[in-house]
Amino acid sequence: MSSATLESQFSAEVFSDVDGLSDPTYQIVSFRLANEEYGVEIMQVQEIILLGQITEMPNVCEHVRGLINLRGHVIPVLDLRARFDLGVGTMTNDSRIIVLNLAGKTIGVIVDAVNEVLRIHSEQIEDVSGGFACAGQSYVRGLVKFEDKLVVLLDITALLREEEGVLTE
Amino acid sequence: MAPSIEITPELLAGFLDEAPEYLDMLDAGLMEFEKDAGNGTFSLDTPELQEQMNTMFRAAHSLKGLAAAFGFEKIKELTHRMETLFDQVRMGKRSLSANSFETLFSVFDRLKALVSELSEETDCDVEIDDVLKALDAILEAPAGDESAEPPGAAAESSSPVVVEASEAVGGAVEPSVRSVVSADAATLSQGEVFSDPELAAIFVETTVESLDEMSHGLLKLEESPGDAELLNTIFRCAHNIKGASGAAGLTGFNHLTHNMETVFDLLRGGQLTLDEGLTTAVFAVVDDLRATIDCIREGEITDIEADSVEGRFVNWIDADGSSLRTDSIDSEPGSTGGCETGTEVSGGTEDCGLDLHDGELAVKVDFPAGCDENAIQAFLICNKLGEFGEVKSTDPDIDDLAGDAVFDMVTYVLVSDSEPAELERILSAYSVDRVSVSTGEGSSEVSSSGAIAERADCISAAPTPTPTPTDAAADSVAAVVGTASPAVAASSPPAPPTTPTPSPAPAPTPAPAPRAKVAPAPSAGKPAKAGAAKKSESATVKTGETLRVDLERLDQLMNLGGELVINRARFAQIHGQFRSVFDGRNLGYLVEDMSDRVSQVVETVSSLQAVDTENRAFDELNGNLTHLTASFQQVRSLVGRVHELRTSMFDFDEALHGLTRVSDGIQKGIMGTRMVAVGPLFTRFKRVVRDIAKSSGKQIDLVLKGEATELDKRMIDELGDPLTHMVRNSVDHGLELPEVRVAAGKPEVGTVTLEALHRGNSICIEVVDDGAGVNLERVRAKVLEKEMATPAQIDKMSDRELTQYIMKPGFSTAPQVTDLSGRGMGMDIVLSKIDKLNGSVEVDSTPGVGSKVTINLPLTLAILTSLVARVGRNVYAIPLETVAEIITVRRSDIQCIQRREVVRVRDRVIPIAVFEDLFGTKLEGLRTASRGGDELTLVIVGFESKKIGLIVDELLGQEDVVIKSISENYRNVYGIAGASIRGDGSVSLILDVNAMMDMAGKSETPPVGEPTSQVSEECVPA
Repeated sequence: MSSATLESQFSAEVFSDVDGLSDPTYQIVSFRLANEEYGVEIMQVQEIILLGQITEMPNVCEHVRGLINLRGHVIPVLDLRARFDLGVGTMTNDSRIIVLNLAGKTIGVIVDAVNEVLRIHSEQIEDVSGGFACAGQSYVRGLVKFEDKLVVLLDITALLREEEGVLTE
Repeated sequence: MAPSIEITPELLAGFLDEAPEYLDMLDAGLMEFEKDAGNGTFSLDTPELQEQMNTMFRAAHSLKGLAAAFGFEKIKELTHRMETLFDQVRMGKRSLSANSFETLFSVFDRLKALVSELSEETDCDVEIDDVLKALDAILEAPAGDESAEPPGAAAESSSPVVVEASEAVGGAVEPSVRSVVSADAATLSQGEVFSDPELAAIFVETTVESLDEMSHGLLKLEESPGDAELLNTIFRCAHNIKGASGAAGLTGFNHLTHNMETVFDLLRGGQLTLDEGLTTAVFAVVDDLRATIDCIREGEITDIEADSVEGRFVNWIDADGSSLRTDSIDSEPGSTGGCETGTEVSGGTEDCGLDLHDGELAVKVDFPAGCDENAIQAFLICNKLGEFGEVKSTDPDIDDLAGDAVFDMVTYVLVSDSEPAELERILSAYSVDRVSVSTGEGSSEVSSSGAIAERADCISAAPTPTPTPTDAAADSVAAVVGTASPAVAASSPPAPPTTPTPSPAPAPTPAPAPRAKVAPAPSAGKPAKAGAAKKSESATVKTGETLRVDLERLDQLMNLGGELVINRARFAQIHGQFRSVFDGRNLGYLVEDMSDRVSQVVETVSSLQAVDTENRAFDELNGNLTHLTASFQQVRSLVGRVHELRTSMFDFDEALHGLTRVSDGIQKGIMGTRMVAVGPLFTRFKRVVRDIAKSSGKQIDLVLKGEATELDKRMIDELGDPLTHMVRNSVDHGLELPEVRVAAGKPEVGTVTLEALHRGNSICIEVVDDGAGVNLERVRAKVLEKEMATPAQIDKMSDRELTQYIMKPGFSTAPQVTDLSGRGMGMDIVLSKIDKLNGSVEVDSTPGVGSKVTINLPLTLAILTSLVARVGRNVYAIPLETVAEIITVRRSDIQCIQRREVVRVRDRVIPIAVFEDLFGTKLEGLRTASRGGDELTLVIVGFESKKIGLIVDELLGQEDVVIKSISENYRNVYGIAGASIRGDGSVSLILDVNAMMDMAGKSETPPVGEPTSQVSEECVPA
C-alpha cells in the first residue's frame, strides 16, 4: 500500500465526520506497551481511565482481561500486551485503560503508559512492508516517524474484527 | 379521489400502529363466528354475535378508511368488500357458509401480508386479485333468503336511501339563519360502545390529538386561506376522527365528523371557499366534539345526538349541489305541513333495543316536553295504532299515564304488518316531536315540528356529495337518511335512537325551553357542554389517559432505575461504614475520663510545686499541662460534634429508608409500564390451531388460561415464535386423529391448553396436550441413529432424560416432514429463544396420555432476582429461579462415581461442579479456599430432570440485580448470562445455569458421544 493511498483512506476516515475536509494532519494518542510505542487515532478514543477492578470472564481468550464498570456501563477490557505477545507485564502506576469507541461498541485496552498526543502529517506515516514482527497484520496501519521515535499506528477496528463475534452485529 | 397524502414515516408508523389492532379484531371475530357456525351456515342469532359482527364491520370500515387515506389501494379494495359483506350479514340479508369463511380467512391473510409488507417497506407484490374475485363471488351470489326481516325494512335497507329535506317548504327563510344545532348528547349504554376501557382511552387520546391538530390548522388557515398543505392536514384529522369514532361505535360523532370531512374535501377540491361563517361553524363543531370527548374521558359514555348532526354544515355542503341526493322515500310533507320524514337505516343493534319478534314493530314517540296533553296524546296514539294491529305493550305502561304524569317518550310494541313509513306518516299528524318506528332491522324516524319557518335550509348533510368512492360506499352501508332537524326539534328532549332499551319516560335529559331561534354558531358549543353527556349510571368506564411511549425510552428509564438501585446499595454500604465508626467505643466517656485525669495531674503537680518551689521543672510541666488542658477542651468540643453527628445518623437511616422506598417504587413503576397481558399473544394461536385442525383433519379445542398474566413487553414480542412452534408441535405431533383417539378411549376432540401463571418470581407458560405424548421408542431409535449416545447410555437414561432429546437441533421423530413441522428444528428454536430470555424449557410427557412443555421465564428481562455468591475473588449471581437448595456438606460426604464427584442429597445423587474446572484454571481468582477445607457450601442448581451442585466459598445473599448485557460492548460469552454492577461498583457475572450444566457434563472427561458435550459444542459461539 503506498503512502498516498493510505493517506487518503486514513484522513477520509478520520475527518469525514469532523468537517468533511481531508486535512492532511491529524492527531494520534501514543502509548507504551513493554518497550514499544503504539498509537491510535484520537477520534476513536473516548477517554483514558485508571486501572480499576476487573472482573474476569470465563471462556474467553487469554488477552480479554474481563469486564469493568464504566459509569454504569459494562465494557470489556483487552490486554494489548498479551494480544501482541509482548510478555506478561505487571501493572504499574503508569498503567491505564484507553477507552475506545468503535463501531458502536465501547471497549477498553490496557496499556503500560499513555505518552502524549501527536500531531502528525500524513507523509509521516510509512507503509509497513516487512521487517517487523507485526508486519502484514491487518491491525497495523503503518509506522509513524515522529522526531526520533517510531510509533506503530494501530487500526483497532481491524483488531476487533479478529476478535471472534465482537463486531459481527 | 384518493387523498393520497404524502406518506411520511411517522404517518406510516401511525398506520402500522393502528392497522394490526383492526386486523386482530377481524381475526378474533372470524374465529368466533366460525366456531359458532360449526359446519353449517352462520347467522346472527344472539345479541353477542350481532355485537361482534358490528365490531367487525367497524374494524373493516376503519381499516378501509385508513387505507384510503393513505392510498393503499389493495387494502382498501379488500376491506371495502369485506365491509360490504359484513354489513349484509349484520343486516341479516346474508348468511355465511363454511366456504365464505375460508375466503374471509384468506382475505384476512392477504390483508395481514399487505400490512406486514408495508412495515418491511418492501414493494407491494402481494396479489389480491384471486381473493377479490372470491369475495365478489360471495357478494354477487343471491343473498340468502333465510333472513327473517319484515319486508319493509328489507326494502329500505337494500339500497342506500337518502332523503333530502324538502326544499319545497319554507322558501321564506332568510339565508342567514343557519341551523347550527346544539349537540345534545345522547346517553349510551356501556355495553355498546367502549366495552373495553382501554379502547375508550385510546379513542380519547387519538381524537384529542387530531382535534388539536385540526384547530391549529384551522387557525393557520385563516391566515393563509387556500393553503393546500394545511387543508390536507385538516382533512386527514377529520378523517382520523371519523375513523376512530366509527370504530368506537359513536354513530353521531362519526356522522358529524364525516360531514366535516366532506366540507374539507370540498374545500380541498376548491368547490367551497372558506369564509368566516364556515370557519365559525367548523370551530363550533370542534367544540362540540371536544365537549363529548371530555365527557367520555370522565367516564361517561356519550355520543353526539344524531339529530343534532344533521344541520351543522347544511349551508355549505348543499352549496355543492349534492350529487348524491336520491329520491326521498315516499314521504311528502306531512299533514301538519311541517313534517319531514326521514328514514334511518342503520346498524340493527342500534335501533332494536327491544327484543322484537317477527312482525313486531317498536313505535317510539317523543312528546313535547312539559305539555299537559301528552297523556291524552299517548292514549290517542295507542288507539290509533290499534287500528293497524295489536298493541302488545307500552313503555311506560299506558295505564299508568295519568293526566299529570310527566314523560317525554312512549314506546309502543305493535304487532302489525304495516309499513313503518306509513305508520310514521299517520302518527306525525299528532302534535308530537318525533316518531320512530323500528323493526329490529331498521327504523324510520319522523320529526315533526311546528316551526316550519326554519325548516327550509335544514337540509340533510348526511350523505356527502363528493366523498371518495370508498366513503360513499361506506355510507351506503349505513345509509343514513338525513332528517333535517329544525331548531325546535333540536331543543326538544332527544330520544336517543341508540338507547338499547327504550328508557322509560322521563328520559334523563332535562328539556330546555324550546328556542325560537337557532343558536348562533359561536355559542353552539356551550349547550353541548352543558346539556351533553348525561351520566349513565351503568357506564362507569373511567378512562385513564394513555400515552404512547417509545420502548427505547422505557428501556432507558429502566436502566436509570437500575442505576438508582445500585446507587442506593452504595449508600447503604457507606452508611454501614459510618455506623461502624460511631458504634462500639464511647468517645465521650473516654474524653471525659482523660480530661479528669489531666486535671488530677495538674492538681498533683501544683501541690508538689508548693512543697518544692525551687524546682524549675515544675514550671515547664505546668506549661505543658495547661496546653494539654486546652487541647482537651478542643477535643471535647469535637467529640461533642461527633455526638451530634451520631444522632444525625438516625436521619441518615431515615433518608436511606426513604431512598430505598422511592427507588424501589420507581423501579417497580417502570417495570409496570412495560408489563403487558399475554392474552392477545395467546389469542393468536386460535388461528394457528384452527388452520392445522383444518388441514390435518383433527378436531382440536384450544383452551386458554391465565390470559391476564402480565409479562414484559419485550418478552411478549420474543415469545410469539417459540410458542408457535410449541403449539404446532402439540397439535401436529401430539394430538392424534379422531379415529385413533376414539380407539384409545379418549374424547374425539383433542385439547390443547395454553396457560400462563406466576410461579414465585417467574412466569410459567405451559402448552399441554392430551395427545399421544412423545414416542420414546422413536426417540431412542433416533438417538442411536444420530449417534447422540451409546446404547449403554440410553439404557441408563430415565424416560424424562430421553424426552429432553427432542429439544436437540435437527431431532425429529416425525416419520415425514410435513409443511408444518418435522424438520426437527422446532424445539431447538424454542430452546434457543427461551435461553436468550434467561428462561428454561422443560418437556414432560406420558405416553398415551399427553405431553406438557413448560417455559419458565423471569418476570422481566431487566432485573433478575439472584443468589449472590463469592467464589475465590469473584462474585457471581446465580438466577434464583434455578437454585433448588443450598446445603453444607462435609468433604467426607463426597463420593466418586465414574470419576465424577457426587454427593447424595436425600437419596438423590447430585454431581458436583467446581468453578475452577468449569471455567478453566486461567481465572486465578477462582482458586477457592474451600476446596481444601472440610466443609463445603453447595448451591444446588438445575431443574427437576437435572441438577448439579456448585461449590461456593461464601454466600452473600439474595439480591435483585440489574442485568447488563455483555454483548452490548463485547459478545455473548458461553456460561455467562450477563453482568451486573454491585453496590460497590464492581462487576459481577450472572451465571447461565443451563450452560454450566452442559459444561459440567463436558469437563468430567465423559465418554465419547456424551450427549451434553455435543450440545455444548454447538452452543459455544464459534
